[in-house]
Amino acid sequence: MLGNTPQERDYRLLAVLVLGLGLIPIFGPSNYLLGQAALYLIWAAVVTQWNLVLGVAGIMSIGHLALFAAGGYTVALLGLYFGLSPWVSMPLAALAGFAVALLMGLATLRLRGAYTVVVTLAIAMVMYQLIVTDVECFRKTATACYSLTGGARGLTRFGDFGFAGLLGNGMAQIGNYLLAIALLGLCMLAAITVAHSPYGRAFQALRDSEPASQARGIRVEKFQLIVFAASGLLTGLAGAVYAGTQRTFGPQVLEFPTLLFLLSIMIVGGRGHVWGPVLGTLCLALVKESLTSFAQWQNSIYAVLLIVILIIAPEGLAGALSRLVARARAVKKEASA
Amino acid sequence: MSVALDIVNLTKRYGAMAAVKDLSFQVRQDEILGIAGPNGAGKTTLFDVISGLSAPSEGGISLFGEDITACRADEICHLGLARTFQLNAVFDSMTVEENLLTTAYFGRHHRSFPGLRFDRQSRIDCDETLELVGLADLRRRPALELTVLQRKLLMLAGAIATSPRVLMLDEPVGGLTHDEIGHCANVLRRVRQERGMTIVLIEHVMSFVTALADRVLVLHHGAKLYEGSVDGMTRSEEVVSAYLGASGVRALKQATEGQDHVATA
Repeated sequence: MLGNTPQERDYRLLAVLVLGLGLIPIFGPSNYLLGQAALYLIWAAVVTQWNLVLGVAGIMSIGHLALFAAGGYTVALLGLYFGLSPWVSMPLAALAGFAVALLMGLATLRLRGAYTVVVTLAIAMVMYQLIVTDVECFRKTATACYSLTGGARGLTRFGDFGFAGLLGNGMAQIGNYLLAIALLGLCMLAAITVAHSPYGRAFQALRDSEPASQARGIRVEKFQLIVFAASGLLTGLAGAVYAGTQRTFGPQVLEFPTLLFLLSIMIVGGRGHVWGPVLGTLCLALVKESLTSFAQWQNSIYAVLLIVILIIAPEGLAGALSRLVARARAVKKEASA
Repeated sequence: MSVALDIVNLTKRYGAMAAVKDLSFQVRQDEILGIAGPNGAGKTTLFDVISGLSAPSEGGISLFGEDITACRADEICHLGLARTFQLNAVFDSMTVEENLLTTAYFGRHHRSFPGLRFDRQSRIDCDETLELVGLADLRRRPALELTVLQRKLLMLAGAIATSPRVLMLDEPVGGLTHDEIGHCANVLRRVRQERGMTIVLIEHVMSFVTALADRVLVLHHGAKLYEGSVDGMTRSEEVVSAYLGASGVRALKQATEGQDHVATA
């Protein structure tokens, strides 16, 4: 019913997911709900790419949001200073993500484990510090003075995807929401394709055993760079979609709460599983939205959730689910035999 | 008969300690060479250096006349030398089939730009190797769920799927039961018969070595202690005192006499 190979099954599930999500606006949800949903879809898209590096290839990169910021700032800066629409600057944002990812990959090529964590986190923190300490007056308006990168306040009024003009004022949020679905669909399509391809197997091989990978003809450094660069491309694109739909982009995306939130999505969903990011986002979004009145406890709650998942289901929801399905199948087979 | 592997004055030093010391030997094409020696004799280090995982301090290695001393591990694999590991190094997050597809795809030759799908040849190699080692029924099983014997066979299959000319096995039957050892011996005989491979194997289980090896090389403190026939090994006083011991010789004699048993087990 769901296709013959696991890959076909994943494609079909993805088609169902995208169609299902795409039909939701018919039921007339509030603009607030659509806006939040778009945001979560973008986070899910980012985690699908981060998961390729950290989950599938086992490279302990924690600075993935630097690639996201590279994409977002590309759109914001080009919009602000050159009047480029996000539609135009989107490919450039992807390239910016690609470039930063490649640098990060090169910097960590010979590092492993905790050393990779430190260096990738340092890259993201340096980026953050450069932005928030940028206070020099670059652009003067009648009332105020702005720095080049917008500093700690971030950038606004650099344009958006123009859905208000395209679909009518009240429909802009639907446009943003559909674009976020398209982004997640694209990122999932890429993740599924890569995961089942020789590339994905090479990434997995790196995680499982480096000496064994080398001894079987896989050049470790090459695939480390490929996985970084490929995930950087789509993460940069996600940054562009974020900037163009939220109409603001600031250094908050490089702060600890964002990192913790996305890391929780990945771990709760299931590190290294292709469906982990979607399941994790669904779970974390429900937790976050039901706890809006306890905002000050948010980070603590994510941390507790992380610990609980790591203890009871270290493989995350996707891992636990796939094991359940496998067991159900085995039982069914036995019953029919 | 041509020389498959030529090791010339090979030395591997770690600081002041020489794990392999000025070692020279040849492996002839299509033979099975057993490498034995006490723990710490430098057997695994020798494998690491030959397969390119660590660089030699001095000396040269050639594979079918081609100098591979300075080659990386992945290049050596593509030139037709595949080794297994003492610890079970298979790709745990993959199924049996995915393991072999991956090694067949990346191990046979260099891939500058891998495709998005596994090619037909890799699938054929994968299927043939599964048949050869007898894991065809377990192809969809995750590697992590295999028994010790099955994991050993999978690691062997992973090496074979790269279509090597020389197969180097690091303790292929260590930790297995008597019957399992017999099963592995049969698999290796079939591999040699059907694929005509040159095999070098490190093993402490002497009955396994005597059942398979054409010649034996005994290492001690990184240097060659003995090279020659299996029978001659038990008569060499150095080998007996450094490695086998009196009880070892007795066990070895029994094993030689009981060889048919191992062969048919």
